[in-house]
Amino acid sequence: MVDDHPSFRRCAQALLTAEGFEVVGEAEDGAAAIALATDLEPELVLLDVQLPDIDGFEVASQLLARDPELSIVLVSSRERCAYGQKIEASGARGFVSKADLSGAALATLLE
Amino acid sequence: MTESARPPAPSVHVAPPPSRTRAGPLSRLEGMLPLALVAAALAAIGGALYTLAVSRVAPHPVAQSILVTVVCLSFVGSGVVALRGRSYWRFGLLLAAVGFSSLLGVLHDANDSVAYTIGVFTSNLVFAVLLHALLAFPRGRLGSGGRRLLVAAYLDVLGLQAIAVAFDPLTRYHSDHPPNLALIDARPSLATGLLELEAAVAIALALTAAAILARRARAATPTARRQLVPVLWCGWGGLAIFAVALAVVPLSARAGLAGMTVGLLAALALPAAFLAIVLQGRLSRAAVGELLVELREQPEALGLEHALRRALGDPSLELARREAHGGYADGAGRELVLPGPGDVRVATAILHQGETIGALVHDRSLRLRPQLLDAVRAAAGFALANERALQTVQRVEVRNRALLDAIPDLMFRIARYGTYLDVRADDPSGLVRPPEELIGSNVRDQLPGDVTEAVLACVERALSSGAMSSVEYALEIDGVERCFESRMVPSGDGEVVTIVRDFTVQRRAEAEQRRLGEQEAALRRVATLVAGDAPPEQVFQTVTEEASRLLLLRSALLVRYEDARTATIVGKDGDEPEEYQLGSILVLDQGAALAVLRTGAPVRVDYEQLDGAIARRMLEHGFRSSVAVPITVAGATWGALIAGLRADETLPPETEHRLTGFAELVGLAVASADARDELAASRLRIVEASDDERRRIERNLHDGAQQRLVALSVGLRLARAKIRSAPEDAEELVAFASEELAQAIEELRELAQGIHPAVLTERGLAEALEVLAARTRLPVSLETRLPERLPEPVEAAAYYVVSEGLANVVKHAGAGTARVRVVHTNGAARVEVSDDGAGGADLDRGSGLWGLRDRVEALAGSLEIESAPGKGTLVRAELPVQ
Repeated sequence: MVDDHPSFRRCAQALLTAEGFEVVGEAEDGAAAIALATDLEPELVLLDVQLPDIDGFEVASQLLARDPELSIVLVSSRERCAYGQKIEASGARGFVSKADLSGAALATLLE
Repeated sequence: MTESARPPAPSVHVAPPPSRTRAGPLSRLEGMLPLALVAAALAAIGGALYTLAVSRVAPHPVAQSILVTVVCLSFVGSGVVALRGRSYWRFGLLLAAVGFSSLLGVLHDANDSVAYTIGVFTSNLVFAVLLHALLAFPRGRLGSGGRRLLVAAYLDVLGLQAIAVAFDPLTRYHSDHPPNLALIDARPSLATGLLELEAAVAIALALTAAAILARRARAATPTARRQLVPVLWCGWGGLAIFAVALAVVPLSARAGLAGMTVGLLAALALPAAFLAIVLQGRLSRAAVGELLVELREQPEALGLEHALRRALGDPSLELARREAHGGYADGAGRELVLPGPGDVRVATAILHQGETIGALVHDRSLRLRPQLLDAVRAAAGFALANERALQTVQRVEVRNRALLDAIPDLMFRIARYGTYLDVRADDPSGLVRPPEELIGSNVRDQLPGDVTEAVLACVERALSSGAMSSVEYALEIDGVERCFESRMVPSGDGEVVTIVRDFTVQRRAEAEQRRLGEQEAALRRVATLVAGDAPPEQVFQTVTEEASRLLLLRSALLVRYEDARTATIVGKDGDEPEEYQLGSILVLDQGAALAVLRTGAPVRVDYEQLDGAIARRMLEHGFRSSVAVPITVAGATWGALIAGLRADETLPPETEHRLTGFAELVGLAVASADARDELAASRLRIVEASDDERRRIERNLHDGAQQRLVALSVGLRLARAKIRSAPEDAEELVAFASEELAQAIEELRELAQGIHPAVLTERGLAEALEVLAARTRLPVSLETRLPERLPEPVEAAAYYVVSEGLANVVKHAGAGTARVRVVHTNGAARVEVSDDGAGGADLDRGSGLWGLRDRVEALAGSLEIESAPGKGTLVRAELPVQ
């Protein structure tokens, strides 16, 4: 789970855990996310688009460059339309607005 | 004499000229009467002479014959002369009657008794007739007193005589007398008594007549008196002698007859005096003739009056001239009042062509000599008319001369083939030669060929058309080209008079006007470019070309100074050196551009006097000098407009002035372009600042409140899921959510405060600044002097100056304290933010200050910064308050 807002990470972890996900690691910026993903090799990366150092799309492309099978779902408090084609171009499995985040939404994207 | 005292209408006193016509049948007898009288007199004298010749009783027939002939002819002749003068015809008849009645005494010596008796009856009639003539002298008319006297006289010499004769045997005269046929009864003593009575009455009548004549002489006008006095004395003497003779008759017939004869001789004074009057009239008519000659030769006003006095024999005569306003004046121009009715003198109007042009004021007696008066009047009329005409001509001549003198032109008379006949030039500087050299010479020898042809063609046009013809030409006189217009009119046989006007000055003025017009048009074209926001490069080039064209320059450059040593060529026209191309950089050396940069004023440089690369290059290219004017923008010398002059060129002194007109437009164009650029940059900064602010707000919302609300939303959903299965977890989640919500609210409030502080809107600048100071993480001393609230835009600008200033102090200054001072004074709000920090701040660095400056300048204010290193920083804004 990559997001620079601790309160969101806390809520999201509790929500997803409750819905049967196991959160293996948390990162608050892009560089930490890439390092952690290399170490932990998660099945799914929940990646915030806006990060303090590099943006989510760049992080996604670097992660996929290392592991093309990795599932990445982009999240943002903005609407999907704010990013247009960038989401598809990033190679991520999909996009979920933070307000709509739920285990079911992630499951749908991963099917 | 005052105006009010003047007689109301002088002209009413001017008598009409005496009538020259005589009414009635007498006019028809006019021609015959004198002849008949002369014939009758001759016949009567013949009869008388015959009577005396054959008389037995005539004592001195020869002497008597001579006497009666002389007396009769004197009176009848004078009478005939008088008849020819129209004023004296009555008197003429009286004189003739005296002549005829003087013959009646001859019958006294007749041999025939009838003739003798008639002679005795009428021998004294001549006394009464003579008395009649004396009293009627010289007009032939009697007053009422005279008429009564005459009736008495006729009764005396005829009535009393007849009665006496009826009783007189007449024996005392001569024994050979024929018998008295009228004798009724011979009573000599009665007859003698009656005759004595007759004589006494006659003496009384003679005395009365003398008295009447004396009174008349006293009342007469001077001229009339001069005529009357000799008549008076002679007549009176004659009458006296007559009367004495009558008195002697009863005593001595001889003595009586002798007395009568002496009386008649004395009475001859009457025709003599009368003839003298007539003769004087004749002489006066001759004087009129002389008068006319004199007037012709000596037309002065006073001379005219004297001549008229001499002609009329009236020393009191005055000649009155009719003035334009209707009054009269004498020869010296003094006002003259005409005599009124009853005056000794009278006025006779002088007419000319039916108009009264004057009056003769003369003795009334002259009315008796109307022909003379007429002649003199006519002569005076001619003289006055001439005088008037002369005055008019003189006036016209004076006016014409003044007009001619007032024309500042040259005048020539030129013959058909070009000979100068006459030259008049008040100012000979307009002549190609002095007048004396021109006269007699030919146009062809004096004027250039083309001008000669034009002038001669104009002469020919004027002569053939008979009307005014004109020609314009230019002549070089003393090295200066001058323009002339020659107007010609025919002035005689084959010659013209021409007035030549020098209108060089007007031509120059027209040329100057045209030049100004062209300059104005050129400047307008440039100004239109400037106003139309044309690119400065286009303006520079256009200015250079227009200035070059208008001032007929062969080389013009427009340069922009880059620094103290270099300039860029931004406009060029003409044949300047090849290396001077648009955009090329000049290194300033001795030359016009450097001189202008140093002086900031127009300069002229002579390259021969200068040393340096530019001077050498210009001389190599054939340039000798340059004229340059500065282009000033915002008080600084921005560039120069330079005209290069070759060796054969000169530029008039006003060139600098005219170049300056163009230079000012360049300055305007540059200033305008600068202002435009500055405005565009300011707009861009405003837009960028606005965009930055929006981005900041969006980021703040996204990073702050929005994130918290998202977390809140997730947390609440989780809490709902756990509220039954794990109520404790749910409670913890709700507590977390509540905390997040409180944080979100606080962040939103801060954000809103940053967008626009509500306290500023609601409570004004002073309190808003207090809040701002309180929230600043630095001690801030705040001084506000704002007696009343400022306009909203000024309050906002002042607030943000302080807000941004304090933010900068906190972020960059490393200051211990800050000071804020806001004062409203003299129509402006002054805002100062100072600190005790490191200083060294720069307005050009940091978009926050740029944004502030745009905001302040949008309100026509100013923003400045003092920030010397180590001396802290002062940001000062001046904001006009309207």
